[in-house]
Amino acid sequence: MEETILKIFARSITRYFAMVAGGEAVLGTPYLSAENESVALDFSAVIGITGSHRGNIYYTAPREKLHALLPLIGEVTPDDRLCAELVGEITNTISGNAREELGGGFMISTPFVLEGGPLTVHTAKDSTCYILPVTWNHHRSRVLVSIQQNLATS
Amino acid sequence: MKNPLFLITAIRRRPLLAWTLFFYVPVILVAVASIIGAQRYTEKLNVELANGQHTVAIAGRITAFGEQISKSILLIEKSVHDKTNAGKSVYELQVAADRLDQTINAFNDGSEIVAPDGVRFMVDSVTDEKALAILQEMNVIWVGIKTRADAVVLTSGPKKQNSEGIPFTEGALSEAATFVSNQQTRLSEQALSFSRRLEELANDRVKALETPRTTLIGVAAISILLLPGVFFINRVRHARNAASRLAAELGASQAKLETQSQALSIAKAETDRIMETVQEGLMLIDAQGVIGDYHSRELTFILRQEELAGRSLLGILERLLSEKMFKTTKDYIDLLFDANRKEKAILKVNPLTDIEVNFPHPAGGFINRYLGFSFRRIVENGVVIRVFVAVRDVTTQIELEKKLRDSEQHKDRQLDILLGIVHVAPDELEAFVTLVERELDTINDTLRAEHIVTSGGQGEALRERLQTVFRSVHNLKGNAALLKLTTFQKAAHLFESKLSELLDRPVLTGDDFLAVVVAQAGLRADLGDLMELRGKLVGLRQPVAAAGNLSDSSAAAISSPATQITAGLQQLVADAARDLDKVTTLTIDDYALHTVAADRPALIRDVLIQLTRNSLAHSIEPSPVRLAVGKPPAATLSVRGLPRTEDGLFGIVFRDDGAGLDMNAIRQRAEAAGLITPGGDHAPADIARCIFAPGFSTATEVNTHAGRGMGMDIIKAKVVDEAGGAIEVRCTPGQFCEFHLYFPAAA
Repeated sequence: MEETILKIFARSITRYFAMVAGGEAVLGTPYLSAENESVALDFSAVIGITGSHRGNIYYTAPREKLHALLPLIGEVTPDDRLCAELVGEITNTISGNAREELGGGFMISTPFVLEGGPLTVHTAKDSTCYILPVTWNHHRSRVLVSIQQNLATS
Repeated sequence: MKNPLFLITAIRRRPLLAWTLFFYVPVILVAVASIIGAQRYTEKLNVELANGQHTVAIAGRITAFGEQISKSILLIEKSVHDKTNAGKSVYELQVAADRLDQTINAFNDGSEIVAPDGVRFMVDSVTDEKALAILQEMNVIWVGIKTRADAVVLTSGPKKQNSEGIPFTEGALSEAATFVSNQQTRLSEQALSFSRRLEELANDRVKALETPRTTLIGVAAISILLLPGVFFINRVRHARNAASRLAAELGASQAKLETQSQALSIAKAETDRIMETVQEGLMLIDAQGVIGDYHSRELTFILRQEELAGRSLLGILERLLSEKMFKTTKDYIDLLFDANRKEKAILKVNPLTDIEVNFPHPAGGFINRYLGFSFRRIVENGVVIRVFVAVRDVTTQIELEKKLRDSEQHKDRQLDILLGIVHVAPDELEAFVTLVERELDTINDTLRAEHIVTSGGQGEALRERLQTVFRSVHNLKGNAALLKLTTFQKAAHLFESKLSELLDRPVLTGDDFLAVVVAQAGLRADLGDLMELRGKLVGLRQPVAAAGNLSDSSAAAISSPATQITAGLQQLVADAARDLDKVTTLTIDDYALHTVAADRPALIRDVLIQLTRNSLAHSIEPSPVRLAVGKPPAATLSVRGLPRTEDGLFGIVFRDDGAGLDMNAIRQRAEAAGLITPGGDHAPADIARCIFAPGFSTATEVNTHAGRGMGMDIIKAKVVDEAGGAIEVRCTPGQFCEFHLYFPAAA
């Protein structure tokens, strides 16, 4: 995968926190997901990618972080349902931003939310899963990018 | 002079000119002449009428004069009878008699006479027979009357000179009065007849003038009326002819149109067949991007939409392209319609030669296709009125090209790897795979440590991570060079270049490591290919080994770690010396090497690789330099054993007889890097220790063998940090350099 695509997701997630939470999110050193590695935090959402690319985009975050974030978007009584909705929204936002930059061919599904771990990361064939750790307000979360450019399909 | 025929032809070709010359001008001349003639006759007629009136009036005075004479004689008679003065009557008688005489003489002989209205008038002598007969009668009567009148005047009036008056008696006067009265009656009758006759004659003369005058007036009127009439008729006829001609031309045009229409119908049918069958989307668009009425059938298949005529191509593309690409497309179409821009230049920058589009799938999802657009302007009077657009579905072509490209790249890479590993012993290859896996795991583990970020330890911590990654990559590259696995060597070299570029940045962030993780993934992919090929080679090597009939001891010898390291180092020296244009030999104490490498072969190999590359790059001089300083042209590298130390450490020494450490260069570089205080009084050992700092190098340029400054860092990390050993450097500048490496006994 091209570095530019990873940059799109890195920029997108930090921008999300800057705009929504009003605080700087710091990207850690990205790394590759090892086989059978447990990368899931408390809440995870996955969006399937088809079209010009295929694979999956994940966002996973701990409950504490989501509880800290929810009041900033108007939810003053955080609960697990709202946490699940929020990880889905964040995944959808960063995927949507990628679609804007990669073109209409970057088709995204609706987010599917998982609660708790372990999270089985579905990688595209011959594809690698990149993990982008993001820290906001001392809370960790991760964006997982496992996509591969696709040949045209009829 | 021009040929008359030419003039006739010219006139015939101009009907208006012919009509003007041969009709309108003559008719106008006739009309003018007739009017002039009629005017002349009118003038004559007026004169005749005046003459006639005067003549009749003068004739009418004959009766009046006659009555005056009769009356005067009667008055004279009465005066004589009454014995009164008759002078006035005599005078009146004389005047009347003179005037009557003048009048009758005027009619007889023709003379000027004063008309009753006082106008002097020339009376022509009477020539008409009837009038002349009446005039003769009046002459006779007048002679009788005149005689009596003259007698009365002579006797009763004043005496004329030379005459003797003869007094009239009453009887004579009475007789004269009676005579005159009688004759006057006859005279009146004749005068009346005379007047009538003169009037008849005057009327005849007037009539004689009226006929030609009337004729001329008629001619003039006819001519005048004829001109507009004929002109109108001509215009009507001309208009009718023009209408006929137009009708004929229209008929001809209609016939021609029908012919053309038939031809067009045929052509349209052919065009329709072409548009129905052509395997390309063809259309015309206007400046607003609206598709014209005609387009090829294939266009509906390519764009997956019906009823395209009249729709906006931009509107269709807006739903298929990304926002950025759509804006580019819109700008490009605007450029196509800008006549000021050269078409050739615009066509060169067509952004839609193979554009990716996504159609919604009826069953959900999307259909991803590649379309190729080409454009051509249609210009009229310097204005681009339409743009011809041809669009093709190039998905298959793009797909095949990409497959081919990927396949060739994959094949080339696999071939490179295959050529690299085919000469490598299986256990060496296995060791290399293990090393690469280990180094990649080290890299990933280094990157994975999220706690640094969480604790806010960006900056130096990230730089340290980068140096750790660098060491792994550099070690990987050295081992790849040892086995001549150029694919890995090149990949690692490029990886090092990225790392160097990042290390030079004053501030590091997590974003900077995106390039690192992508490069790491690339090396993992290469490792996957290598492992795949290694598996395939296993089946080939076994029969080769059997054919070689190698003894177990020989095989064991080949598989010994020390032997592998020796063989690898010999190859590395040969390759590097050749690349660096130096002559070098390597001697290795196999026993000593075996002693230290048995427990940690990978580490010993890694360290010796870095030492060998370091010596060749920095210490060993080129042969001419060596000869100049009295050294043999071929340099010598050696690895030999060291006695076991009191602490129980095993040792080997790596020696080269090159120039050794360039202390001045090391000092300058160390000062520049902030490792030692500039200008300080540093011990040589403190200066020499700087060579183990990460990224430290005195090389002025980077090549595949040195310049990254990571070799000594790796040695230190391996020997000291990893193995818990020690390093001792002994050097006589210009003579030799030795690295004494000590290792604890394996647990």
